[in-house]
Amino acid sequence: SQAPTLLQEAFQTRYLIQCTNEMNVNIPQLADTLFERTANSSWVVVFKALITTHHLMMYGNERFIQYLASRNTLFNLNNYLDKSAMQGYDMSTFIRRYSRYLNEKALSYRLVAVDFTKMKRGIDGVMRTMNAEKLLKTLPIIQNQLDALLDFDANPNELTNGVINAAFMLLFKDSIRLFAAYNEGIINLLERYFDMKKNQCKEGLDIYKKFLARMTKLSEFLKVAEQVGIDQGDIPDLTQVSVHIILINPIILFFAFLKIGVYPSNHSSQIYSLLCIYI
Amino acid sequence: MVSVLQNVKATMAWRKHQLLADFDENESPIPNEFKRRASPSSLSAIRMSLRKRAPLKQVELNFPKTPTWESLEARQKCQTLQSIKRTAKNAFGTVSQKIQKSCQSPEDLMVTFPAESISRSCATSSTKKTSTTPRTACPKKSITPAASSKSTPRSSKRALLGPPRVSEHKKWRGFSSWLGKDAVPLRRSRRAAALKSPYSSPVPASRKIELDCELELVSSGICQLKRISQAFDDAIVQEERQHAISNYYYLMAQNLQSARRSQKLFQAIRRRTKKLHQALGT
Repeated sequence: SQAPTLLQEAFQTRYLIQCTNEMNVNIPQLADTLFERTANSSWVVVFKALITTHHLMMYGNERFIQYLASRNTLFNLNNYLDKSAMQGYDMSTFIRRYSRYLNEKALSYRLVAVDFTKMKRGIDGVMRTMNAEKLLKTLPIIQNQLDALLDFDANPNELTNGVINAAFMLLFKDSIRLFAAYNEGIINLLERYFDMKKNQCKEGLDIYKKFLARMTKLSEFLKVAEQVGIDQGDIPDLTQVSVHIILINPIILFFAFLKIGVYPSNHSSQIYSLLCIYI
Repeated sequence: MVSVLQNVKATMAWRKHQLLADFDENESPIPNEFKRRASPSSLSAIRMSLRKRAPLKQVELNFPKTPTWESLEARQKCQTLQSIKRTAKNAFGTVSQKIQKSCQSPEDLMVTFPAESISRSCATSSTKKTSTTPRTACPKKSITPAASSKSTPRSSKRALLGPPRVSEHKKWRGFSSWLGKDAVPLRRSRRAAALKSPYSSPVPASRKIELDCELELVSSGICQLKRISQAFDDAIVQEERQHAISNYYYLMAQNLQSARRSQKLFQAIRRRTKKLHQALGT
């Protein structure tokens, strides 16, 4: 039969999204159908099944992601390889990474019972109003999900077909929402930092250091998005602001060190070397 | 009662007599005798000698030697010199303490570019300028200590931090600048030294200022993160708007399709009714 056109595929995906909102639709059956297609030998079929699953997780009814989170296993594509087609080898790498991210996304929902990409943001948002204890447990989960997303690690010259571009677009949309939640969590952490206990401060400092590294990686990811052709208005301006954060942060870290007693306060040379690490 | 008073009087008289016996009018009073004598004339003599000998603040107890006018004058000169030396030491001490504090206090670990960039970025929305200043200011830390040396103790918060050589260089330059324009006058130096001495009582005001600076830095970092948060929120809102528009187009297309289908169905029904009508009419 003729392969569906992109428009038809878009319509089909939207149709499936509508289906998730219908009460008479069997969500487990819908999900199992998609899982079966990931067992196909063709990378195109597998990649499209993953993209459709991601689409339903993002825009479908929450019942869909709840079902995925309740399963013990999801996509088992860590060893997937398509040797037949020309682009098979390259695309197989991205299929493995993409499936790992979708597993991590479902796992995050399983752990915190909330989708980070859909949660309420702002001053009265979930991450800004969370208490210190919960924050220290939630931030590492966001961190892991963001790491899996950024591990997709596609260069502009590797985004050569419509299938991988569709996957990258969905990852881009997830990345800005995920990082927004992550950033709000870090703001909350810094605001509460001087009121936390000593052991919490150590944990918080570790999380904060990792946040700095993720910010750098995300800025590179956003650069790729810009080069691929995503509208600049849709891409947050992170590159220039991140410089300030990286430079200011050593000072914040220094005071944090002082507070938890890790660093002596009268060794200027050690402090200088600490600043040099980050600058 | 009367007998007790009489006994007291008698003992006092007896003491007075003893003192008078020891006292020789022709000789100047000997210091070690002052303790024994309690007569008014002797007391006034003691007072006079003490005044001549030394100022009230400093009393030198040289009882074995007999003080003479010449020795008193020489001693006075030495003491003024010593006081001058002491005040100079105190001034130097305050200055050295200031240098130490400026080199080692946390606010000196700040680099100028974040503070400047914070003020700029918080004041204006554009961040293009600020992105360049941090990178260019970074190498200045080791290359241009002169810039840091111009900072006075009061502006030491904004000073650049460099390697130890640079900090020492800065120390001496700062000292010279303090002796120049900002030199503490000698009259006030003693009080300043007393306040800033490590043995003096703690000064909470300066520590409060340091804490305020630390908190200001942290709050500026949080301010930057909030700006990022705003940028991401704007991007998300725009993306959601586009998604809503595309959803609208999809729904309109679906409605159009369903309208066309219903139109076709209606036309088909119309044709059939016509045929039936014709069949029934004939």
